[in-house]
Amino acid sequence: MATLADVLEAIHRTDELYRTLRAVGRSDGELWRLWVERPDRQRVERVDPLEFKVQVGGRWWEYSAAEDGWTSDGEAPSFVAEWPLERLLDPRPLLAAVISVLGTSTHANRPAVAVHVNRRKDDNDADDNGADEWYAAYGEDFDAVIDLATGIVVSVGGDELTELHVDEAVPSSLFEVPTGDGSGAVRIEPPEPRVVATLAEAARSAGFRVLVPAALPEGAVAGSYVLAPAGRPPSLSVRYEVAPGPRAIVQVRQHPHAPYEDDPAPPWQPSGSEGVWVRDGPGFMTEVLVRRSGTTAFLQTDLNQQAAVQVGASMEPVP
Amino acid sequence: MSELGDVLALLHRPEPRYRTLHAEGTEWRHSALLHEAFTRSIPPGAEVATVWRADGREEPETRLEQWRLWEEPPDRLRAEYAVGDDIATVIFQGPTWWSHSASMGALTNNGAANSSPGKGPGEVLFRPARLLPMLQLTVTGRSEQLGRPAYNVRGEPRPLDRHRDRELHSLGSGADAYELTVDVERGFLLRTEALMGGQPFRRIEVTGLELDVPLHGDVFTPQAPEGEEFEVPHHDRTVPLGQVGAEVPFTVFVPAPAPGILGFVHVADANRRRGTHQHVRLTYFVAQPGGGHGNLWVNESATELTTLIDDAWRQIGDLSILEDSSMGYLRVKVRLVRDGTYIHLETTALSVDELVRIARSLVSLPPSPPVVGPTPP
Repeated sequence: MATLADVLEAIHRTDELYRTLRAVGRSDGELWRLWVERPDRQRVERVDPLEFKVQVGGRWWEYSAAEDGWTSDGEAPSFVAEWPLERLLDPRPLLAAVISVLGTSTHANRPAVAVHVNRRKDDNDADDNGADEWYAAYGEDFDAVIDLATGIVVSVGGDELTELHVDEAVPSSLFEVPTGDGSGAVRIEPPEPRVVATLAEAARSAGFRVLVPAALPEGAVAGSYVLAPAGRPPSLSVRYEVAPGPRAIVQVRQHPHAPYEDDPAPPWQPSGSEGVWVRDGPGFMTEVLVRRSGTTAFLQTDLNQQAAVQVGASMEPVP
Repeated sequence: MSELGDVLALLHRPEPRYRTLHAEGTEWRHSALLHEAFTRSIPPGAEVATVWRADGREEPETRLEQWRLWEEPPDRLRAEYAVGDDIATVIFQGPTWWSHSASMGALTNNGAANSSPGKGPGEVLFRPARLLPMLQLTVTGRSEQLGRPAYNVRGEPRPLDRHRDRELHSLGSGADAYELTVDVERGFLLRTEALMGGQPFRRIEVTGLELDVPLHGDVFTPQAPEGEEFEVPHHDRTVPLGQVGAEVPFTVFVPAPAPGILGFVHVADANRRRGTHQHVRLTYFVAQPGGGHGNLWVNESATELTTLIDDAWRQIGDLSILEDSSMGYLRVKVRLVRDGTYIHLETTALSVDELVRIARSLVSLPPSPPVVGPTPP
């Protein structure tokens, strides 16, 4: 029977317990594959539609068949979003919680230990040691299964590794920069948004019906109109400012209304004007959502709520 | 069970580790090494605020300060510790805290959850589990501390891929290694030492310890000094720039055009104890020539600012200018008075000429926000 000390030591030493790892798993029903080569190479891949992220040291790139192939390169890993199942490979934040052993078992034909994980009552600093991401994903009180030989989590919530192979050779091609080998178009540089100077030009190029406010704070001037990069879902952003200061701003981002978009739920509140909702934004900001003429517009402003709704309710399609 | 597993289980042990705690100890720091280690722990591109003593006195090469801690789990705690030249006393009872120091006065949150004072350098010794994700531990031997059997453990920082090591700040940020003394019976720490290049720069140590003994009845009873009452601290208010004119009784000036992105607008009320007057602080993020952004602060008040202009300042017309490198990097400051408003501009990101140009661009802000109306055709 594995003891708590065995489990803690496996988690603590997870870096040293394997050189390479290949895993197959499911996250919320979707099939994923993972490869790790110590000390700093990792690939996470969704099988269908194909999508993968590769990290080599401080560099990373991503590929998505659905998005016509795209990648960014050269950023520090801390700026890369975490992909499903990645968290399971670094269980060390759990050491800040209270772990108790429920029993030994096998998982993916390997010795494993079922544990219960509880947030410590005095751990107000979970955002510092990474435990907060686990609590956000699985709650502050959850069960998990730990692989005893590697220390990694093989089952928690809706995430599970169903196959696990360690210390077998991993093809180095899995960690190479994609070069457009027929698996889809690949760009090394992220696509640039298109910037135009006038509303008329933006309305012509947007690819959907553009909304424009008929009422704005007195003296407001529009900045540049920023359209989504070619090949990306269409959108348009513009920021209105009142000088000096700026003493008022209204930021508007809009896109074609998608059939799967439901009416906004609380904390959004109907504003009293047809197709216009309002809510408190971050800090003192107010946010307004407008659905009109097949377009959804999202406004963020430092105006008070009444003035913000007045601007939102005035939005009409560009003639 | 391996010795490492044993130590991990001790440090990981669920609270409470005692029915009552009364601990006394010391915090020793080597000022120059502490600063050097902290500086190297800052990730590239990060901005960090540092607090400097403004009384002109030299910081001693090393400091040794006392701390005391009383705790009755689950939710009663008292700590006394040094903050600069001051002694802070904090008491926690459930969600409510009270604090007192000569500089800050008597404060309480009245049970509100939006702020909390620190619990002093001793706290981390009795909450060691939160360190476990960020340290690679090796058991190096056994010893005794305060007559108690202990493990000697070396911890090397192992920042998680996706997290900064802020919690290691409590042991000493930027260390190559930490020497930890782990109490065999209860699993808390009796001593920690942060090392850089083999040199210690911060040490926290328990020098007196009583466990599970009845604590004096009033140790958790807050008591304000004679003539004072506990007050709820006033925090700066963040307001939209358009409304700031209505918040203060003086004219607010802003650079025109805006020198960068306006990040924050704070209104701070007068604080008699700190000797500060009501003031407005605008923070702009300005682009730097080499890439990235730096800060530009504009402080404004109806009363002259507390730090006086002396011989180090030079005068260009109505502007007073200081190039201050005392912190190891250049801070440019410009002061002026316009229509009864005392204005102080300060930046680490721009040259003197650029800051002077911004100071000359100041225009008054209308006292009320703009009115929403039909857009002109």
